[in-house]
Amino acid sequence: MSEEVKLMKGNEAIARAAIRCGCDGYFGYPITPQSEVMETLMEDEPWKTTGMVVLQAESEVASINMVYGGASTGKHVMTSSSSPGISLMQEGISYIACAELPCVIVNVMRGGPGLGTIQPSQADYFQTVKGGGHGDYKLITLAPSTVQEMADYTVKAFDLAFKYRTPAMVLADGAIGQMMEKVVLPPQRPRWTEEEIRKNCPWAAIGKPASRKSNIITSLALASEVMEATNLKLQAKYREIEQNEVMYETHGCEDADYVIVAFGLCARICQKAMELAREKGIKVGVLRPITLFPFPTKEIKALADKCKAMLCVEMNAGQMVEDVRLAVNGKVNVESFGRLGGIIPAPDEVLTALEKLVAENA
Amino acid sequence: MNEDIIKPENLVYTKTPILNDNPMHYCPGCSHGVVHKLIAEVIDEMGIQEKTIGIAPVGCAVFAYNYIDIDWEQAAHGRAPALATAVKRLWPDRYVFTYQGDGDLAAIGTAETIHACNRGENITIIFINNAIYGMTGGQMAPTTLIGMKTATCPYGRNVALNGYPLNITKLVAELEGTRYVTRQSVHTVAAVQKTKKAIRKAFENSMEGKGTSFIEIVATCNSGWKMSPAKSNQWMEEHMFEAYPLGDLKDK
Amino acid sequence: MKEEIIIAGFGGQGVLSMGKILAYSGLLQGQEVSWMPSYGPEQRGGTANVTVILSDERISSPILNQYDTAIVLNQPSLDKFESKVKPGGILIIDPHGLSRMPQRTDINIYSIDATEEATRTNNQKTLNMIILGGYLKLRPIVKIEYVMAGLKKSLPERHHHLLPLNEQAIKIGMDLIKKIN
Repeated sequence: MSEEVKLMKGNEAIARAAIRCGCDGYFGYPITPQSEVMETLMEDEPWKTTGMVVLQAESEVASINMVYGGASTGKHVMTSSSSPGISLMQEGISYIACAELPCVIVNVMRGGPGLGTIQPSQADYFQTVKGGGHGDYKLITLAPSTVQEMADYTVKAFDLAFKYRTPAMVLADGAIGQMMEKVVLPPQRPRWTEEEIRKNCPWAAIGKPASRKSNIITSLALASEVMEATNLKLQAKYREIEQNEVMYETHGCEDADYVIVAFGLCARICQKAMELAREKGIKVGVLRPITLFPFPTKEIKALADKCKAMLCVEMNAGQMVEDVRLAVNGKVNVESFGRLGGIIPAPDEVLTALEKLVAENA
Repeated sequence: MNEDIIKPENLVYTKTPILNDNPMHYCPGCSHGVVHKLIAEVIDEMGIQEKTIGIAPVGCAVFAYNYIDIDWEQAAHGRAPALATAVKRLWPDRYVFTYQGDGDLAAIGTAETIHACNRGENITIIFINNAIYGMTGGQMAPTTLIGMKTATCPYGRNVALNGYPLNITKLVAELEGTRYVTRQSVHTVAAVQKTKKAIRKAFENSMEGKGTSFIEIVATCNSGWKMSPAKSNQWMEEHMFEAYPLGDLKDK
Repeated sequence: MKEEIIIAGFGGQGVLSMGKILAYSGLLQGQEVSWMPSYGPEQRGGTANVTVILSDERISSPILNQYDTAIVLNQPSLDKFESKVKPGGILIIDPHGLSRMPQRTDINIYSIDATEEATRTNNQKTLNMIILGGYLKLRPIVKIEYVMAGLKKSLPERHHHLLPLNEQAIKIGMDLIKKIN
């Protein structure tokens, strides 16, 4: 049976995909430009259909700690917010990562720093992939570029979070959150039963039967040796994720002399710029990392062996470019182009930056 | 020696198995151990070990999970009511309680406390008020009495500098979402019995869907107060009970 | 087929919903669509705009430098978007909100007295439908039946009794639009 094609905003797609993938609980706090996530959930009232809990918390701090509480019991729980709210959540995210709990966090980024602007941005790249909270941890990070992917990656984020017992972030921006495109929602999955949770999450704190020891969800270890072992276990998990879960897509890279690297919405703008450049005879390709952690380091390195120079285009002051440069390791020149404070670069601006790159690296 | 005393039929007291055999890290004379035992006994007597989830705080009681043999979640500082909210909403047939000190519940976690109570979450909040930060070495708490000396008010709490002791239990009793709000202590046998009854009542309440149960236990911290356990109890009676009088504030 | 449109005016003129109806219509016709609004304080009466793309192929960038058609309903929008119409493209204005007329000679400029008509018939809310009718007269990229179906989808059910009025407005728009250069 083919699913109905619907027109909806990116934020609505997240909410509806969450219901469809058997999410047990959403805890959030309103902030522009992502408020439609909770608004959609409240309108759809999934507690009447799938039994999903939806709660408006008193703050982002409470939201993420509700997620922490729910995730500790093996439930599929999530929150969403936008940049300043995600900053508030960092302490909780660090706890969740250390306690090895699965959950999904959606950041529909807006321009910062500070209260900033409500317009779209990608300036939380560092915060997301370098560990915005304290300690050595990583977040699996998926960067959608279409409304369809807002739905798809919400589901994917849950799957990865449970596969690795680690929090996963869907990192979008205000424009994808607010724009409408065609969406086919995933099929409805049932929520896990208590038996399934007991089987799939033997670690979950859901009440201790006589047959097992008590399950204690904690991130505390006062003995340094124990804490180091915890850290090494986390790091081994992150290496495994790097091995298995890299996602990216390329456009026109086969014969490209110049490669643009961009994620999320920016990658689509860069595709348009690529079309304009190819009309002018410049052989340009676009590589779009879909997972920002794990980062497609190998794939970027391989392209660096074939191309003359690279351009990293972001809606920030140049953040991902650092990871691209690390991947390229000096092989070719990597330039950065970005707009700040909530401005989306237009395709012709990218073309101009590209032409400058070509002139300097021909 | 009278051998009769060890015969099973002569047993007059045994430790509940819900309280495990781990040696407690609490200082001699600390109130935490007594309250832990009461919670464990209530869980045992109600037969709800399989259905109880505790939320541990940050502070001395962070290790509550090492002593009471149930499933636990250890919250970030002050956030226990947020965790408990989610657990109870996702698992409505579970008994969910938080165990928090005065810094955790009444300073850094004030927002979570107030809003969980205001939403009427069907959880039990156990609040240990000893008017001082024990774990970090005896600093001022929101509930520190006026004139009381701590590491961060070494000349005594000064209203001009530090404001007034926060009577958060009174505040919580005002909220529509709370069903049962009481203030107890564990410094005498009679007080211990009353506190145990209050804990049982709160746990029972949490299955009736009528709102939050909140139990403050006025407690001692003889290390932080720099007094003997006996002197601490005496000081508590003489000073703490005046600011924090015992009894039910609300029972509806 | 690929049509890239910007619709711009004051918040409250129905700019975003006109774009939404077009996007719905494209969807129902089986096309790829994208609807990219300006968002935020614009909703409260500032200048609002929406970029709508209908295409037979996958849409890359939803953000554009140039448009096949610009529909502008106030002066700030004319100032901003006149230069961004592709040579040979279409610019539609409602003269009611303008203090100066467009200047370009390499594009096709049309005028539609939609505000006046909506005021005359005391149906302010049909303003955007009148303009949409005018646009569809010039660029019949979507069938009216899909427009009506799209309108039905984007209107709350309690307003469905207004559907005939809106269909009428589309027809009026088709008659009202006139070329001015």
